[in-house]
Formats: sequence, structure tokens, C-alpha cells
Amino acid sequence: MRSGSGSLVAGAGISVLMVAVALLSLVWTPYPPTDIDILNKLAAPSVAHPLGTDHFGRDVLSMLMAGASSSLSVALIAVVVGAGLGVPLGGFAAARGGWADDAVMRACDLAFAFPALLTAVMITALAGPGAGNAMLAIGIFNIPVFARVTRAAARQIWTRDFVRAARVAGRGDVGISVLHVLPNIAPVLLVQVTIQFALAIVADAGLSYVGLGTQPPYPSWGRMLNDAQTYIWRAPLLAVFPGAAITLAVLGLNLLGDGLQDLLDPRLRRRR
Amino acid sequence: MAAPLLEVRGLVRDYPMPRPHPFARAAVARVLHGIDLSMPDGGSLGVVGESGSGKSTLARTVLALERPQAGRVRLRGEDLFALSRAGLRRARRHVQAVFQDPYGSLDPRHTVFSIVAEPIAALEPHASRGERQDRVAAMLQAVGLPPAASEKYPHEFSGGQRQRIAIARALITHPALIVADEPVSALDVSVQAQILNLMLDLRERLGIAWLFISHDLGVVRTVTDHVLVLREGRIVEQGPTATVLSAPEHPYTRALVAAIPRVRR
Amino acid sequence: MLEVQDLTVALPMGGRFVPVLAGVSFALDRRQSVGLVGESGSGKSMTALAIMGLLPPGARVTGRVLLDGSDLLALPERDMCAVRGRRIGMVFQEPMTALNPLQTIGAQVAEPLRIHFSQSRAEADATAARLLARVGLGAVSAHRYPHQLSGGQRQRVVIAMALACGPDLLIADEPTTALDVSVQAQVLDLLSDLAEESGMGLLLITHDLGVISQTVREVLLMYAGRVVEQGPTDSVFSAMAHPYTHALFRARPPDSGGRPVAIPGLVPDPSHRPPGCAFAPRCERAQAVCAERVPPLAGAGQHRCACLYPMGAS
Repeated sequence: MRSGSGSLVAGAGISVLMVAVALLSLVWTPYPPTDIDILNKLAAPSVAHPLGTDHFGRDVLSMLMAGASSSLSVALIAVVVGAGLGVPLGGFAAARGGWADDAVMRACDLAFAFPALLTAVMITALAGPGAGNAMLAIGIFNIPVFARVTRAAARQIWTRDFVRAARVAGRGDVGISVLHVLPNIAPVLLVQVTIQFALAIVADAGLSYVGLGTQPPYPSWGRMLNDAQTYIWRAPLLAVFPGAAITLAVLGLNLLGDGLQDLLDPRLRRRR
Repeated sequence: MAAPLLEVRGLVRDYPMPRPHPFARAAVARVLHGIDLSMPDGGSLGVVGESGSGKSTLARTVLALERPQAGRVRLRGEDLFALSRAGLRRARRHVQAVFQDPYGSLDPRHTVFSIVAEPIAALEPHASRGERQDRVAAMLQAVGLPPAASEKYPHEFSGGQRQRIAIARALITHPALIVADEPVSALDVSVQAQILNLMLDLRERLGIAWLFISHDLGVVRTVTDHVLVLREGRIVEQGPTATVLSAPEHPYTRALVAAIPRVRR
Repeated sequence: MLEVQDLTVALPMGGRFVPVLAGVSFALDRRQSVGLVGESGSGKSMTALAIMGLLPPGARVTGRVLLDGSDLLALPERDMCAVRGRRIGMVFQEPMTALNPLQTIGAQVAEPLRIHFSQSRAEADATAARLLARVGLGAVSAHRYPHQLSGGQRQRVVIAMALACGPDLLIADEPTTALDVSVQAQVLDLLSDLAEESGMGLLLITHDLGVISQTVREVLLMYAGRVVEQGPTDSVFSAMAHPYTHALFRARPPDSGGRPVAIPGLVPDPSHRPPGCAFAPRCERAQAVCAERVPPLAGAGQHRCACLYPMGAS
């Protein structure tokens, strides 16, 4: 239990820090992240530029902060799309069973058969690169994940006596799904959200890396990594900082998810 | 003669069995082989059987939770399975249930008020908030729980108290019939006695009919006037409880009665 | 053979130690059968767990549990493992969760033999087959899996496992509660026969007075962690002394129909036990003095009762 609460605290701390930085960057960054200053390019970290500058003289810290807001917003929309469509789909499959359940699950299987990142690349390449299409592409792949997790957790709740009691009391499938099933599977879904959020950040970094995500001049961590490749011998830190940012973001979310799982599970058991 | 409150004719219920391979024909296990029963208003009928007898399936079918393959279930003359969805909801006001597991039959995420008021919320949505509160308070009192219980959650109560909450929920729409599926099997003997007495009192005061499913002959003897003995989906004996249990005719019933562990004094 | 002396157990709950057993004492010899009767919270299962050394970590235990003279409570875990299965066998309530769904029943019965006696697979399988036949499963193949058997059959497998090493003591905790009535009688008879035959001691734990009455010679009634009445079964049931015993008997649905007489109130929560006699708040015969001190077990001869105003006295 002790390690559980450690994870929760660390994870929550990092995640909250990230969100705070991302929100802050909407109103203030040390320098405008798109400001070019060729004379100062590839500068090492200094008091003026704590993380140095890139090959166009842009301040790395400011770019990192703005990149946080871009990554988080893409990940947020992707998860909202995925959960917003996937959870009702999974809930419907669990409530109906039979052919509806089979149909939804086979559709998910089909979606899982496609390599997610490659297909996201394909979608954004066809639909046109940009943050919006990246959100959609990643979001589409979140749908079957949430559908599956929801359906599995919901099915267990549907067998419980209090659901039968609700039926006898006159509730229909929709009423039961919303009033009884959803509150009882919420912990599982919450943990899944943190997992998918972390994956979305990585996916967004991947798409940006190949140039299909957030487009210039808006900064993104993935593109920063790509740009840093050319200068890896002259200014290795240019690659380290965006890489570290991605790693930290994912680590924070994973720890948060772990901590939440430990927190919510024994509580549920003790409640019985 | 008045029409019976509950009438079941020729009830057949099958369950699909897993197929050995996808191209095999789906096999089916017959759980109920054509059950007939009837209950008058305010009556008390016990259904006794061991595991595999189909008694729980019978309970669920009478509650219209499962659709039978054949047969009819008539409540006050209405065939439950021929009703429209709206019609079935109207009919549900008259038949409610109490289930076996006091820990599983109450949603852990809802307050006692929300649980007990649910039948009103679903079947009488026009009832005002004040009316709901009054009725919940009255029911809690009727089952011997303090009014403060409304704001609490199920995990704050013992098994016997939770069954009382379940009974309050079953009573709130003033149903004519309550189907109780092993309502006291999960309780200690002394708590069982309290709940059984509560059910007998409620029957006397409110005239509710009970369809009482149990494997425990002793409990059935206390609470019911008539009893059906079910074995592997068929009725092997039925009649007044006192008669069937003291002078059973069918060998299976005799074996069941003989097997009850008695206290030698 | 088994002597429990003043067994007291407290469990850590919410920062404090809550007493769940207090001063439980009894003795059990080979070929003897003793029953522990009580409702939830009486401590009967806890007693079995204490004897087996299976209490939750952090439990505080005092008293002694002597098995042929050596105190089990003082044994280190490694030695206790040698005792479990080999000298004390245990049968639990739920046969489905006591059996591994992925192992054949033959393998599960053979396992204790391979652990404690280092028997080869062939030897162990042969012994296992004999044991399965002894518990009435001779017609069932040892290669079957638990889910292919009925509840009663599974419980027999569990009994065979418990007996595999020829233990001196068999503890059965609610062995028939999850079974159908018709099968209950068979399983109980099997337990008594086996105890008789192999000279084992049998400790039967249950909430059912009828089961106790038919299966064991000596009974201990427990309430709120203490023994409130004990003695030979016939004597206790024909002359119930403790008001709780009497109330428990009256709370059963009467054989002749009619209402059971409920015991008012609830079993006290272990962390909020009333001072003095734990049953006093619910007792018809309670007097002021009952709330002042815990009545000791008293009585002439073998039938003893922990009550200041036992039934049958004025």
C-alpha cells in the first residue's frame, strides 16, 4: 500500500505540474516560442536561456512549454473522442449481449488488426497534416480500447443482483447502464484514461516527428526531436530536452494510473 | 371465484449450452419442463428444491427477467410476456422482488434513499420529491430501520439490515406479490428469525402475497401455506405446506424431509 | 491430543487491537469429535485459523495450543508448514474455491503426499486413488477436473485431500453449508465414519444446531469471541443452560410450524463489545450485575455454562 500511495503522489505531482506548465504557456512563456534569433542559435544553457536555443535561435524552454500545451491538447481531445464514443459502445455491447455484443467486439478486433501508429500516419497523410487530424486519428484508435475495457467491466456488473433488482424496479437498459453500471465501472475507466492519455502523448510525438502532427510554426515535442537529429553532435542537449519532456509526461501519467488503481481497488473491496 | 393473482401455465425454459465446435448445432438444456402453478391474492406459496431444480429460473421468469420458451405467466389476468414495454412497466408495480445476497442486491454506490426509492423513480416518475421522501421514510419504519438510514450507504449495514432495506424497496410501490428468492439463506439463524417474522407481519398487515423460493424446508414451513417441490425442472409434489412436509407422498420429498438435520433433545 | 488453553486473539483494525477471541479452552482426543457452534462474529472460524496458524499478519495471540504436548503457537512458520496437512487436515466451506480448477482431482489429492512424504508420482497416485475410493468417489476417474463434479463430490475430494497424510486432527469449517440438504447428511456421515475408523480427532465448526446434534459428541457454543456453554451434546441440548443457547434453539423455524422466536438486537461489533456479559443487552434474564463482569464458565461436571443466571436455576 505504501508504494501505491507513493506512485499516486508522484504521478499526480508530475501530471499536475505538466498541466500547470501547459496552461501557463497559453498566457506567458519566457520568450515567444516562435521568435527567431539567428545570431544566438545553438546556444548552450545559460541564465538568459536556461535550456539553450535551437538552430533558429528559438528559446528551448519556451518551445518546450508551448509543446506541452500542444501535446496535452491533442492527447485530451483524442482521449475524449475515444472515451466519448468507445464507452457508450462498450456499454451498449455489454447491455445487449448476443449479436450486438458480437458485432461490436468483432469491429474492435478489426480495428486492432491495423497497426495503430501506421494507420494514424496514413490518415493524417491522406486528410492532411495538422493537430486537428492528429487528434482524430489518435482518437479513432482509442475507441476500440475504451469499448473493450468498458464492455469487460460492465459485463461483470450486469450479472450482479442489484442490476436484476433495478430491472424489477422498472429500469430499462439505458437507465441501468447510466445509473448503476457506469458508477461502478468508473474507477476502471479512470485508470484507462490515464493510460490512454500517456499513449496519446507518445503517438502525437510520433506523428509530429514525421511531420504529420502539429505543423510549424507551432512547436511540438516530436518535431523538436526531429529537428535535433541534424545537430546531434553539435548540440546534443537539443534532443535530450524534448525527449525528457515526453518521458516525464508519460511517466507521470503511468504513475498516476498505478496509484489510482491501488487506491480504488482495495477501497472497493473494503466497501463490501 | 376470484381470478388468481398469479397464474403460471406450461412454463418451459431452456438454456443454450456451449457448442463443441462452431458448426455443431447449438444444444439446449431444459431447465423448466412445463410448470403450472397459481396463487390467490394474499397467498403464500413456497417453491422448494435443491441446486439444479430450476427454482431460481422459475423466480426470474415470474419476474419477467427472462422470457420462457413456452408457457404463460399471468398476473391479475394479464400475460406478462404479451405486454408492450410500457405495459410491462405498469405491471411491474404489482410484482417486486427480494434476492438472496444482501451484499450484492444493493448498489454500493447509491444511498439507501436512492435504492429504496428506485421503483418509484422508474415506475411512478410523476411522484414529487416530497412524496418520495415520505414513502421511503414510511417503508424504512415498516421494516424496522431508523429514518436516518436514508442517507447512509449499504456497506454501513449488517446483512440482516440490508435485507430489510431490500424488503423496503420491494414494498414501496405496494405490490400485490413479492417474489423472494432465498431471502434468508445468507443470514445467521437469529437474524433469519427476525426477517421471517418481519415478512409474516407484513403479510398480515398489508395482505401481500409471497412467492417464497428456498432450499430450506424449515423456513418454508414457517412462512408458507402451500408448497411446490421442484426437482430437475418438474413439480414432483404440491399441496398445503403442513401436509406435504409432515406426510410427504413422493419419495423425493420424503428424502428431502428426512435429510433435515434435527436437534435431538 | 489437542489442548487449547485460554486462547485469546486480537486483530489490528483501524489502528487499534480488537479482541475477536477471549479465553477459549477445550480439549480433543483421538477418536473424539467436538463441535464449535456460533453465528457470525462468534469467533468459531477464528479459533480454527488460530490452531492452524493461519491468522492474518499482525494478529496478537496469547494462550497455548498444544498438539501432543508441543505448543503450535510457539512454532516458527517452517515447522508449522510441516504440521499443516500432515498432522492437521482442514476442510473449508466452499469446495469450489478450495480446489484448483486447473489440476485434476487425482493430482490435488496426491499433492500433500508428495510434499510431506516425498512420495514418487506413481506411489502418490496410487494412494490418491485409494483415498478417493474411501470417500465414495471410486467410480469417478482421478483424471477429472473439479468443474466436472457436483458440489457434494467436490467436497469429498477436499476431504480426501485433508486425509491424505493421515492427520491426527481434522478441522472442518462449515463443510456442508454450501451443499444441498440431501448431500449434507452423506458428507457428515462420511466425516464421522472416517474419524472413527482412522482414530482421528474431529473438530467440526458450524452454525447449524441440527448438524452438531447429529455429528459430534461434545459441543462448545460461542458468542462474541467467548465460549458460553460447553459439554456433551446430549446433555447440552436436553438441558440448555445458557440463555443464548436457548434463544438460538428457539430462533430456528420450529419443527411443527409456527413462528420462530427471534433474538432481539444484533451480535455486537467486536470493536464495541459491551462490558460484562456480551449477551446481556439481548438477554431476557439479564440483571444489573451481568453488565459488570464477564461470567466465568462454571458448572459441576462436564456441562458448563458462562452465565450468572443460567436456565433451570432460579
